[in-house]
Amino acid sequence: MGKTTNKRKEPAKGLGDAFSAFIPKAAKWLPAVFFAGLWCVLSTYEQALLFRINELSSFVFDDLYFKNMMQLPAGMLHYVSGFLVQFFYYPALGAAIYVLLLYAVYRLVIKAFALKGSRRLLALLPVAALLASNTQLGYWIFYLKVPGYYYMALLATLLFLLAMLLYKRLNEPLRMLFVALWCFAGFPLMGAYALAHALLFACYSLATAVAEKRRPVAAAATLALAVAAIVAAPQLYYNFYTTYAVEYIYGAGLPVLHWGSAFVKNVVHESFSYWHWIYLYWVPFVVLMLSLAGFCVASLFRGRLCKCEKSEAAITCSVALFVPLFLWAFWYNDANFRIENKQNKAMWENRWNDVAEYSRGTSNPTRQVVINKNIATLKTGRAGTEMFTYPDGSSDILAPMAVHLTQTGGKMLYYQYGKFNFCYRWCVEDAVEYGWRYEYLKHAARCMLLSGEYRLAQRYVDILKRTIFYRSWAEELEKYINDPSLIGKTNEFAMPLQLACYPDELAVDDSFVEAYLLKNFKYLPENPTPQYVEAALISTLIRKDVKSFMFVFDRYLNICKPARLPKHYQEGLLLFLQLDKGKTVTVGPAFIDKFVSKSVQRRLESFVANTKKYPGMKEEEMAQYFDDFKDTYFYFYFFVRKIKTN
Amino acid sequence: MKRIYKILFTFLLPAVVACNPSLPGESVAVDKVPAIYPEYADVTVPCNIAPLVFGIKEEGKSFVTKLSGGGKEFVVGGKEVSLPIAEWRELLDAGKGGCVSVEVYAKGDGGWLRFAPFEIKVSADSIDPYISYRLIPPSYVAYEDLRICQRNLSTFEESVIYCNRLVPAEPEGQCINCHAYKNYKTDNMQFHMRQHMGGTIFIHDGEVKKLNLKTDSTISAGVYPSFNPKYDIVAYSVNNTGQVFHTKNSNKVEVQDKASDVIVYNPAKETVAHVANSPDDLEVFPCWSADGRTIYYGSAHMERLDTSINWEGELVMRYKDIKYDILSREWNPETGEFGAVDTLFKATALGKSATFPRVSPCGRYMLFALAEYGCFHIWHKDADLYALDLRTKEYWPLERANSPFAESYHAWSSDGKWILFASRRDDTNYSRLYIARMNADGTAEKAFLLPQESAEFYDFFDRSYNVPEFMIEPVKFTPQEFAEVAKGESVNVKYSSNIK
Repeated sequence: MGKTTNKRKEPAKGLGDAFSAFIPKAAKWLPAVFFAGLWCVLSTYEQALLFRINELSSFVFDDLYFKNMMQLPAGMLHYVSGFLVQFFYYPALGAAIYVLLLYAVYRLVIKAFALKGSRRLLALLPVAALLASNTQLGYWIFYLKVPGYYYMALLATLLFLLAMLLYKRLNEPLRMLFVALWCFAGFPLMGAYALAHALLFACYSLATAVAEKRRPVAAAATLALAVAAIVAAPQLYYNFYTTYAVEYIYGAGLPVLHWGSAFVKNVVHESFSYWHWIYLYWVPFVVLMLSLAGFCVASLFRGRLCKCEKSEAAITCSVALFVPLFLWAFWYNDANFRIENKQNKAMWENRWNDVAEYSRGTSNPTRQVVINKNIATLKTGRAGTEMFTYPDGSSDILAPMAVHLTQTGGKMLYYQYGKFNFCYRWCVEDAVEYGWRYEYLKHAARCMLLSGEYRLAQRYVDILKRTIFYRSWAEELEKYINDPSLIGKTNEFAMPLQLACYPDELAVDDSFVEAYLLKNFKYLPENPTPQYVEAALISTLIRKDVKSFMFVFDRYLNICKPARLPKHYQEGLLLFLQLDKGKTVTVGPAFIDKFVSKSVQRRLESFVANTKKYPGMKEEEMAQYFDDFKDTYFYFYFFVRKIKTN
Repeated sequence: MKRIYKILFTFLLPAVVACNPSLPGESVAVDKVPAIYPEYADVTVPCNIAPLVFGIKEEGKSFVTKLSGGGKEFVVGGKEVSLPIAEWRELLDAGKGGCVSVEVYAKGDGGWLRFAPFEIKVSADSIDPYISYRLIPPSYVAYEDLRICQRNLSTFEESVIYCNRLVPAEPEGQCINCHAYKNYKTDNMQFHMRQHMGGTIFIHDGEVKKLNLKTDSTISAGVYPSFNPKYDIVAYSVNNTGQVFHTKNSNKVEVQDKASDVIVYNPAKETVAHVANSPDDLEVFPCWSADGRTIYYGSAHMERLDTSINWEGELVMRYKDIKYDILSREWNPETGEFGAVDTLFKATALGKSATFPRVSPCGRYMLFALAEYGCFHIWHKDADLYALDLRTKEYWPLERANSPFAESYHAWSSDGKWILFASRRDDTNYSRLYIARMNADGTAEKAFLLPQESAEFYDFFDRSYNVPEFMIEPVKFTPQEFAEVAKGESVNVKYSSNIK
């Protein structure tokens, strides 16, 4: 020890020594940088994600809601976590609460396990694990059946650390009692977390007994009692919980029911990444458990580790390297996912120009990004001039499960396209699986309002009025329920209503939103609105359906009466006339000159001429030589192929 | 010590007194009955029903309500009127055969208003002590957490008979449905499980087993059941069912049978036999007469008209043409033979569709649901309950019990004096349970919503109630015991041409 102390007093010599001296000092301010930086990243870079997480959660101030939560093991964790998630409505506020609680974990780990010097940095390990358990999710946010997932492990860890402070003060007989109580009283409140805590407490007892060279009999008895309680408590509660399979009871509160679920089956991934590897989602939880277990048994090694500057530096460097690398590896960072969330937020806020503009943030968009852009351009009257100037395609979704539009953005699309019953249907279907999330409640209320089912709309409005952040939204909608004559005077409802001019029919969408919409707009109702006809015309362009285009185009001219035909419709008309070769319609040059500008005609000539430069080349290969035509329908028609909709 | 008592007396007594609401000294009468929810004004309730808790839907800063009847009087404060069970029981006992008068006072800016009183009629007849129902989200295809529950009608106590989450959700979920009892008792009862660990949980004379009611000769396992009240056989429909969705109509979904027949099951012999399986008819919802010698069922005649599309497609196209009549066949328990088919109620002649026949325990009346088309009337807003006199064949709507919205899933109490049914009148989409008094002449009184502990319960409860049934005793098996049976092997029934 004395040697080490002397060494510390020696002045640093050389770069290596200077570094060794600097690093322990860095340990003091690194955590502050970490937590401040984390808040900045979450509240800015991930703000759309946090908002979406809130939208996909639910918390209602109601006795029934509380009772329902408490009917499940880990019910209290579910309830409190659900309460906290709603603050992501304001991403900066939600992120602040989240980061503060992570900071509390950090401080409590230091206090509970008496970490000193650079070893304090080790307290970042459980923090990183907790953070990674959330940042890794990606498209799982749509499929998690636990509304409070984002805080459950965090709150359970906080409770464990607080309990550990108390546990350390108890003598061994009291510790035995404490462990048993924690298991039996904690299981209904915290589920499997309570069981894991009990094991950690017992391990701590045993490790300290060994380290302090006491007779470990009492500690071993605590461990044995803990194991017995861990086995017995869930079995006991199984007979009281009438809604939980005994096969799952030991995992109550964990997302075990979802990871490793049927979603994984029958999904073929054409592009593989580690986000497709289902079992990796458990890694943060394992790291959390291992790090806490490490702290619990650390006393076994106390006194054996060198306290020299080099070891301090080694710990600091290891943690400083491991934490960012670990977070980088477990931070889902997919451009399409981010854009989809930004678009969704913009759609709720009626920022339609932004919806379209965000889609330029990726060169290989998912269908969701493309369809959002399509509806945005239709809504802003720019579909005919702009919709094919944006990136197009159908990128694979980076997820291990089958992701369907119905769960992600399909409800919004159905609403915007005036398919209120279908939007409502998917709200109800998904509420069955994931609970009545705020997003579903809002869609349901809006759809039933526009369907004229005011009683039903009122039901969802009443529920939203019991929330903190959606009360004002609900009260605004309630005005329309109370006075339906206002509906027709509101811009927000204009397009959905105009597109709802079709007659009732029986149909199924088989969970394929885009395919259903495209097929549905193929047929024009008796008295379509101009917006409906334009949507139908666009659907023929996307489907590359020459015959339907000609039929719808005729109606478009008569009903929409455009002063000048928008560019993409000119391109479609010209291309289809050439491809049709007079099979469906015969027109003369005067017709073409009347509707198609010279520049568009020249563009097609140039496009055709370009194709002749690459005889025999496949279209996929040829596409790279047509960058100049990426803003045309011609490019979409020939080079955007094999569109897979989800 | 005395000092402590003195302090307690000084401070706590006024607090207790202040918490006890009293009627205002002066008030202005308002010539209007107060708006309340649930709507309990002028309903007839059995003398053993749980407290009718309701909320006052009027503006006001504070509210006081007086409930009185038979010389008893209770005053309740607050916007939610909820009397403790013991006091409610006193009130009903006193008002039995008469009525309870409810007088609401609301305090506004100008002082207290006194609304016109309304009455709750208290029948001298009690009601069966239990009901059971399935709780299901009003979803279309998806299901996750399904429960069959039983409820004590004299209290608010509800317990789970079985929940599908008691068995693992992998590799596929489990659907549960169609619970039924023989003569309102639970020693002979059944319910179905579909898909994972599927089968019919059947309790026969107190012994529980899991059945596989599907045979090579029948199109599915048993679906809609009906226990014969006198003999040891059970009728089922067997159905091949699908769902399609309205793009605009507020009915939202059509549940259609692509094929359906009626069978009977003999629990003693583990055999099933056909009752009705005409290829051009869709037969569904069997029901036995009170003497057990006649079987009734709904039947729609549907022949193929368009062979250019498949049968399912044609059914979708012609969904409004699918109309059910109620047919009957006599059954001879000695020979096991069924007699000729007779049409009991020709709904098609009225351009309507009648389903879900249920015969009263006395055997005189039949209730059924009538709507424009189809068989699954809980999704049809125009569906109403009708009564038919089996002696005269006269029929009439239960005008006071019906609403402009869907009514279906009706059941008779064991004494035939009450009916229980599902209605979507509250918010048009969630089925809620209503109870109505049935008079001796086959008419019904105004129905009342199944009372809950909180007046706001239904505002937030996101499940529909379906297939409500009366019971005179609770189910004796625990949900976990049913789960263990579900995990076991099924008894495979055999097909026989005669059920005897």
